[in-house]
Amino acid sequence: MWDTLIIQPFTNVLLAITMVVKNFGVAIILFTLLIKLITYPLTAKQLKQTDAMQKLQSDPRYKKMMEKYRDNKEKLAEEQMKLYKETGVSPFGSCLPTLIQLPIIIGLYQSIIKAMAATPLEMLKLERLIYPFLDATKILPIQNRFLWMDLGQPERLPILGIQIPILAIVVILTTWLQTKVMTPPSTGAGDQAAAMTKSMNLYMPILMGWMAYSLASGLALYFLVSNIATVVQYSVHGRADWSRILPFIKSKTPAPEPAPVIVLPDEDDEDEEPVAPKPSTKPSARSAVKQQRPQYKRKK
Amino acid sequence: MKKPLVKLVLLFLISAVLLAGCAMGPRAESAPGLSADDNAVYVAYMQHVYKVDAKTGTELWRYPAAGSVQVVLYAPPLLDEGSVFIGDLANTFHKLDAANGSEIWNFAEGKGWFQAKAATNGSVIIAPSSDRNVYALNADGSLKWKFSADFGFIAEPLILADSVIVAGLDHNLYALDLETGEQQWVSVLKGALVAAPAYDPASGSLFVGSLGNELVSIDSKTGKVNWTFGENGEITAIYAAPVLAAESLIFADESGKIFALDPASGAIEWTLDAGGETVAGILPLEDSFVISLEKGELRAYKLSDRTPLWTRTLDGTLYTTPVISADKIVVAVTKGQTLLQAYDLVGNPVWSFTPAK
Repeated sequence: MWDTLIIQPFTNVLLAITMVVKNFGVAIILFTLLIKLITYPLTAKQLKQTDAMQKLQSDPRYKKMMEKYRDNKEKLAEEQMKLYKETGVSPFGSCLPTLIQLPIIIGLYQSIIKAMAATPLEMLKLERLIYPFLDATKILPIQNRFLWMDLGQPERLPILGIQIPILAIVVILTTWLQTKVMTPPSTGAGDQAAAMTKSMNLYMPILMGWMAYSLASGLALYFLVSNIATVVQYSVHGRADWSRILPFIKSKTPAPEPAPVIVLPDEDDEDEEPVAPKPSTKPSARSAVKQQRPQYKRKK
Repeated sequence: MKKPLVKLVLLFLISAVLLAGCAMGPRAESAPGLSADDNAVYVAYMQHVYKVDAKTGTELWRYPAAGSVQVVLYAPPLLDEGSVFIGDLANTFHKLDAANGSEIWNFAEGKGWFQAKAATNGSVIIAPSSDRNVYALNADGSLKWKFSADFGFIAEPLILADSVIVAGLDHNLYALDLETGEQQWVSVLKGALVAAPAYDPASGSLFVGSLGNELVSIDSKTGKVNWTFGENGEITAIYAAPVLAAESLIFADESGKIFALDPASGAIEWTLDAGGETVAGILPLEDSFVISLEKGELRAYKLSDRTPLWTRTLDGTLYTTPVISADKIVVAVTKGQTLLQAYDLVGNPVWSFTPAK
């Protein structure tokens, strides 16, 4: 089922592109870009939903609710759902497009592996995946040579006798770039989310770099193109904040509202509105996170 | 507050270690490489090559003693005068002592997988590689010459008097000078060549099948095509070497159809439907032949009239050509409960071999 619906068509498209451009490396690049293009509406929808969710989380009503029901999870969930309904924001709106994209991304990855058949058994399996209208005898085997790389082997470029994994280094850099420019600023949801984001930003490039270092360079090429395409998509959507890596670029991210001072109510005046201070003038991006954290004052 | 962070870090570390573990070894799916001499069977599969007593199915040694995910072996071992020659998917070619499995030397200048059976005439060892090179090694493991092409080599070479015949994935059958590695001739076929050619010393003809749905007879001196079988769509892809038996050229195509051709003319002598897809070659016996089908069946037929003699079913898939040793037919199983299964000549199971962990 998975093979018939996802792997087989993907592999055939990849092979058809290879037949046209006569270069497997270029075919991987074009195929990755094609898939990114096809899934762009889903990505755009996901970004829109993420925006909406972030706005909602900055809403004073949301913050007040979070504070008010922090010890009553059931009530909090109930109130959150009410607010989601009222504002038309779907809590799963940003997850659903990602979930739909997931099998496509996995299929893309697996079809590249299938196409790089290097053993007789792998060739047999690939031959059986090829649709009859594509002439398997002409396609097989795939020419794995691309630039200085053998796409079926981990990539190393010998420079002055030292084998340097150029592609793995570039994958690390682009993954770091991707996480850096795409990670939205903290909305003040708490240190936990910020810490998680920080960890992701650190470990993802290492993980991807290690995979690019040890796996066949055809897959590393896919990681690289995918990273670049994702950054471009986010930039087109106005979601890439280049000021995080290029300080001379002015941040497009609007300076977040300063956090309200929430005056914790006494038992008898639950409905009292929190007292928010006047917004300060243009807080720096770095101080924005700090400023967003609610400042608690005990009512005297 | 700290707990989720610790969990996240642990999760990433575990993922990294697991992925790194998976990623460190070569990612390849292949079938066991099988060879045999009079007394022992040698099988290369995953992290080891095993020498197994053909009479009892007992493991005699394994190489390397401690397996590593970085070293994977699938090439059928080459046996020659007390030595075993085998390449691995870590781009290294080894000479082992057949008596105890210890390494005598290795050749690590390859940049691609060694997955083909090597060939030797006693003084030169021919090791084809997926890195697009055919390496000729001296008896001490040093490089004698190398021949480069546009695609890799995964088929067993054939050494004739002063030349070596190598089948390439680039659809070409090459004849190279055994001393220098210079190309003597090349014959271009329709599809990739994944199996060794067969040679008829009487006529000097080579017979080779390709993934281009053809079997071709080629003059070994000139490289000229004598005849081509399959031009009218009679056959599908050929993944195994043909064999010469009872004055016929016998081979099976991927669909499971067995053909016997007149080696001189390529005319069909008989055909037989084996009843399932096959990529393994045919094992000729004295008055019968055995074929293994992908679906896990081993079938024996009488050579004279193709009468079915026996069928045995194994748990797993069969991609490897069976071998004979000590009057036992030994078959290697891919993803089965056992790695090797031995039968006597009338199909009675004798022993099975599953490597101890």
